[in-house]
Amino acid sequence: MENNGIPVSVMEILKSFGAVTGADGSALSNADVVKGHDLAWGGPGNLYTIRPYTLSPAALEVFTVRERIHVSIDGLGEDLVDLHGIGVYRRHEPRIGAEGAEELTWTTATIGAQFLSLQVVGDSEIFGQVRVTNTPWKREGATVAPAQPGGGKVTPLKNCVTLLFPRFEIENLGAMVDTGDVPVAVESRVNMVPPIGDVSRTSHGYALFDGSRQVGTLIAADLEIGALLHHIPIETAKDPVEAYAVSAV
Amino acid sequence: MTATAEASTGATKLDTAALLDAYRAQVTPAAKAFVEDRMSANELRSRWLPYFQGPFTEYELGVQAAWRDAYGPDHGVEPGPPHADPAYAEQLEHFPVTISHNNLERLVDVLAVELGDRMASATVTPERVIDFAYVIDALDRFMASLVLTS
Repeated sequence: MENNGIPVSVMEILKSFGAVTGADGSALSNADVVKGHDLAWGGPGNLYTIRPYTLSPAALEVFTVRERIHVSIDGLGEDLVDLHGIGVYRRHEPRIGAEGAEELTWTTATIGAQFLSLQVVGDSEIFGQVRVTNTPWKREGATVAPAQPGGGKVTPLKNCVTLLFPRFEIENLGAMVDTGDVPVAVESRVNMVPPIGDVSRTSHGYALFDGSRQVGTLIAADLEIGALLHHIPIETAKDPVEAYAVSAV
Repeated sequence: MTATAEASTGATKLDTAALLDAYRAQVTPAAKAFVEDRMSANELRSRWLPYFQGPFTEYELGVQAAWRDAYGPDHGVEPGPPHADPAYAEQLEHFPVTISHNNLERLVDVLAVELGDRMASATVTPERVIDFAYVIDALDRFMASLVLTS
C-alpha cells in the first residue's frame, strides 16, 4: 500500500483500518507502547553500553525497570498501567548449558539469576496508584539458556525465562493482591547479560487473589529492562538454577 | 555433541541493506496483512520465522563475529564489569538491530500464543498489536538509518 509513492506505515494502516478496537491509541489508556528501552535502539549519541555476546563474572546488579500491566479488578474495571522503578538481582556464574557442549562460551552458556527486589509504581484513573513488588520469601529468579531458533544449531540467541510472584498494591481497592501460588512467567530472547534493552512478556493471564478470594485478572504484563545503575562483583554465586529452568507457555 | 553456530573469525562485513531488503520483502507485507485482519497470528508467525531463522540469524552471527574480531576470541567468562568500551563503537552500533529483532520475535510469539488461528481483531491485548505496528515501522527506520550512514 502506498500514498503518492510513499509506503504507508504499518501503524497508519492499523489506525486507519480499524479492525482492532482501540488501535487509534485509546487502548493504551495512559500507558505507552512497549518497544524496548531507548538503549536498545542505538542511533547517534546512543551507543550500546553492555558488552554483547560476553560472559561476565557473578555480580549483584541494579537496573531500571518499566512494567506495563493490563489488569482487570472486579468492581473497579480494566486498565493498562505504566509502572517505573528498579530491579535488583544476583547473577550467578555461567555454566555450560548446551547439551553435549564441552567448552564454555557465550553460545553454550546457561546463566541463572536470583531476583532480589522489584519495586515499580504507576498511576491509573481506575485503580489509583499501583505499586508492584516481588515476594522476597518466595523463590524467584531467571534462567538465560541456549535456544535453537533454527531448529538445529545452537546460535547466540538465548531464551530468558523469569519467574516472579508479584504483589499488586492497588489504592482504590484498598488491598494487596497477588497470583497466589502461581508464579508469573515472563520470557524474552536475549543476546547480552545483563539484558539491557530487553523486553519480556507474559503469554497468558493470571488470576489475582485477595487472600483466597479471586478479585481480578492480570491479563498481560510487559517488562522493559533499562539502564544498569549499579554493578557489584561478588566472589561466587552458585545456585541450583535448574529450579528456575521452566518454559513459559 | 550439539552443533553450535559460533562466530567466525576474520574480517566481517555486515550487510544491513540486504537484511532490510529481506525484511521489507518477507516481514512487512505479513505485518500489514495482520493489522488489516487478513492474516491470522499463526500465519504471521509462520511468515516471520523463516526470516528470523534465515537472513536475521545470519546477520546476528555476523554481528557476533564482528564483535569477536574486534574484542578477541570467546574464552568463557571474561573479567571486569559488563560495560562496553566506546572504542568498539563500530561493532556496537549494529548490535541494537539484533536486540530489536529478538524483542520482536517474542512479541510475534505471544501474539500467536494468544490468538492462534484468529485475526488481530480477536485480541484482548490490543496494546500488543499497537506495540507490534510501532516496532515493525521503527525497525525499518532504524535499519534504513544504518544503511544510509554505512
